Amino acid sequence: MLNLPVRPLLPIGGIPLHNQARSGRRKGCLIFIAVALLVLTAAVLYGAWRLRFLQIGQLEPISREASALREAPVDAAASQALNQSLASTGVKGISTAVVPLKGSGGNAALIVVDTGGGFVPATGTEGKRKQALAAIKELVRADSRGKLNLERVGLEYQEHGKALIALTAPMSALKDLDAGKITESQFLSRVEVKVQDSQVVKDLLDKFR
Amino acid sequence: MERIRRATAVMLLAGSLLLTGCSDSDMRDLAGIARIWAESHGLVDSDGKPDYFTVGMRVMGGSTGDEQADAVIDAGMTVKNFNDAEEKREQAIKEKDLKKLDAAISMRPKEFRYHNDRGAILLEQGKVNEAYDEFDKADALAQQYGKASQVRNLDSRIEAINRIPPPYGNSYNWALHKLGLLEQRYALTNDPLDKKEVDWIKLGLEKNVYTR
Repeated sequence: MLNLPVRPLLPIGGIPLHNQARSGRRKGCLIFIAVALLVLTAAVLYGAWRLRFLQIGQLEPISREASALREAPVDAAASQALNQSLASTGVKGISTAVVPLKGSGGNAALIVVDTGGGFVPATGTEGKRKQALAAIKELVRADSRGKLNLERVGLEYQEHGKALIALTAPMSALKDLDAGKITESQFLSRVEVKVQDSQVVKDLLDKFR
Repeated sequence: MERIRRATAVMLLAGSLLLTGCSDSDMRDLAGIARIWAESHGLVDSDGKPDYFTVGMRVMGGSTGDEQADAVIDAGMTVKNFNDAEEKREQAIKEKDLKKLDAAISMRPKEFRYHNDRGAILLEQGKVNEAYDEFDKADALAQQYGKASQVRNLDSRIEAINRIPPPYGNSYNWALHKLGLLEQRYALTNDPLDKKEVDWIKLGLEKNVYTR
């Protein structure tokens, strides 16, 4: 009997069994790399999108309260009264909207100061401090005179329509500061800040150092 | 760890595409205030100096921890949106142009004043049912925001129907409508001036001073 070399049996598809196992591993590896790349790309794109929107200050508010406030009907008469009061301090480029805070019965004063509308920030730290204190005094006066029922004040600083910084404080903090019940540092501890332009943050951090 | 935190903060900030018009001295003033602010919020490192990373993250969109503060701090764009809508409203009222009013409504759908304005224009055009549909919309919106908004809603409707010229503007139906609004207002406010006006219109109705 001839002892002829036997060709190993080929599975369907013609790839030897040991090669088939190697190919399966390679395929698994490729799939893993593809999935990893997809996840990474998605993460990078999402990150870039989020950062871009953070930079231009247009990231949509996540909370229901934020969108409810943006939609709330503005008290036009109160807004006009507040506009006039703040304009009486001689500061230009101010526009306001008084909106009801849902559920609380009180209102929020949204104030925008824009250099494009004629707002000129006072020069020097002391000048800015005085300007801010005068505005706070006028806000407190306008609130009690016009019965605006303000609970919170928000202020956005814009340069030619581009939002740079936003601040907010409860009205009680403004009243306490105006009445001399708290110091300016204590007042600042009740102020919240949001910077809509990352260049401002960068510049600020540079100046910190 | 500190190096990683700094690097992350720099990476976060370095991609900026926008430049500001702030002068160097402005930024120095602002930095001084910001330092006090960071310290007063406890955003400091173990040496008591402002923690750049935490400050950066907090002011670039991190939550303040207070929903109301988060909402107000993000609402600056409302002012421009409202002013733009008001401009359209004023034009619409002047020109009695419903399309312009619709544009204002689409910008700020919850402004009940705009629905009252729309209703008044429709009344003037003799479209009574459509007008009252608008007034119903205004009432429903105002009710969502409590008593003060309901009073404002009545005020805005009185103002809107007062703009309607004769013949409807001096008609018996117009007077009845206004009487109803003033009675509602009086019920909400107990304002004696409302009561006076209610009595005045009632007298006018008795004396037939309004056209039928």
